[in-house]
Amino acid sequence: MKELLRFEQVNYHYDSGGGREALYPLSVCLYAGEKIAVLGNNGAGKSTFFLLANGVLSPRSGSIWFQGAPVGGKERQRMALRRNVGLVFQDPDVQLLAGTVEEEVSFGPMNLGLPEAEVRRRVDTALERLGLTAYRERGPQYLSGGEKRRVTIADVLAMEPQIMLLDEPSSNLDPAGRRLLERTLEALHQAGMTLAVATHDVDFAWRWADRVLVFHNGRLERDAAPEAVFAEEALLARCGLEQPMLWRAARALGVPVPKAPEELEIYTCERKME
Amino acid sequence: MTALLAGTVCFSLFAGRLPTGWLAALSILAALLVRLSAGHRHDGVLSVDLYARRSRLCRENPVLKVAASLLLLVLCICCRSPLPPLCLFVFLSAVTVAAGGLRLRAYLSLLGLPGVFLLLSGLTLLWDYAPLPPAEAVLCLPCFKGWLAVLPQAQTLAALVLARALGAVSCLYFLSLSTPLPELLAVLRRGHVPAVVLELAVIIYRYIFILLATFRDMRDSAASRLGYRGLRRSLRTTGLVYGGLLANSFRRAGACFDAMESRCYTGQIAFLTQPKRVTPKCACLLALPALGMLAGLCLGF
Repeated sequence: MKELLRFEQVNYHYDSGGGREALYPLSVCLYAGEKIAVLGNNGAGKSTFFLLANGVLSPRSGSIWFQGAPVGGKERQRMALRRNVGLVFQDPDVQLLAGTVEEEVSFGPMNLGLPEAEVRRRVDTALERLGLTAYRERGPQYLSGGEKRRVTIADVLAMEPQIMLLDEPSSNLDPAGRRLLERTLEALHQAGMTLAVATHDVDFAWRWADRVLVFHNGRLERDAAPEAVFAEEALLARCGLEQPMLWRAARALGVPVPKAPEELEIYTCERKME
Repeated sequence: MTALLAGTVCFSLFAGRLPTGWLAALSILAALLVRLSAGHRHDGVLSVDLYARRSRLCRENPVLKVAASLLLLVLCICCRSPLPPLCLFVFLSAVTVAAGGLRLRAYLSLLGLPGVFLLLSGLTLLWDYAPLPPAEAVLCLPCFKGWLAVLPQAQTLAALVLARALGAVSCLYFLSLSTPLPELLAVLRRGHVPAVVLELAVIIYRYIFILLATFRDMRDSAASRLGYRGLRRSLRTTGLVYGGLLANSFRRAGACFDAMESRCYTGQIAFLTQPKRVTPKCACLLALPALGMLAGLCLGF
């Protein structure tokens, strides 16, 4: 697999935040085409990790590598990192800026200094991929939570990054909004985008991710496949997480853990046959 | 209260110029109109922006709208008789309501705010204080050993000022109820207004929404905990809410700046703008009052 982003012994602490909201030496590597769930309770360091990966914060010590080249502390180098690693913020209102959806999505590409025709093409593509073409002229501040979320994803998509980081994208969404979000993430994955999603939703992490990073108190506690992470009950308890509902259901039924609830039916049918 | 004010101003404006019956009827009519129009209120700034976005005139070229409203504004203020500005007021209000597709009730309720100011200033223009009742006064009231009087000159002046102000308000309302703020800013940018001013305007426009939403949440949550029971407690709660709003805003501002930086912001806010062509309909709608006003000015009105 092609290596995209690598953290080597990256350290960070906030000047005002005390010891809690810091990141201790972190070494991790993201590869092209991965679907990564970043788990951890509040203040575990997920957002700090994302801000560092995006180049908004720069490490106090250690180094960040993008596609095999080190990213230095210079503004120009961090700008290159921001271009390639997109970050969707947790609170859409923090991110939304312009008066119409179209202008909003054009903010990133305009900042990249692209010619107007190219900006237009990117905006059109991003809006179409997220089903926002009809919202073009609407004011983003008047949209619903799920629509705002899609606009913020389109914002980042229009910059055509190689990795997209999403900070708790399903928070404040209704069930329909969540389903749509998951479909969007799947479509992005199919198109070859590398995705990392910070979430509290272990069910979603089990369903969707092919790799899980568990953060706790600013440390990366575990980096493994979901099957391995959710099997470690001691780790989950220590990090304030829990097993996905399907794990608990499958254990109660004494069957292997499926990815979707419908598969449980197959097992129970098989059992009846026996 | 506003209705009473409207009735009084109307009465003093036309006293001595109309027969008493007509005068009374007109005053009562004015009061009733104001009473009926001042219905429910929305939250000022936000509703203006929302109406502008919904307006059918929103699709027209913003440069044309800005230029025409400014021209009409200047012409309106140059008028020496109350008639042309009143015609302009009626015409532009009709354009905003009918061509823009705004509900008449919403328009009238928006007029309420400048309306109160106009009526109050009309009152002070009309009534003068004099130690002795002036001979030519049309209305006279004894007051604190002196007299409050309405003079015919004051009536002429007040009518002119009120008419001009109404005309000017209709120009600005036409513009702000048909052009969303971001487009207005784009026009100013083309007019070479300094970038710093415009960026501040963009950010202020954006944060009005956030600040208002935060304020509403905080106020409601304080109210749900009985924070506004009694005057003393209300004052205290209000202080706390505003203090919290400041702290929240600071935190918010930091997060927002991070979000802008993460999208490669380097100190220059730029958006893609959709070109809007000048349509003959809109050009005619705006050329008509401009020509009318010019003709009025030339004829000495």
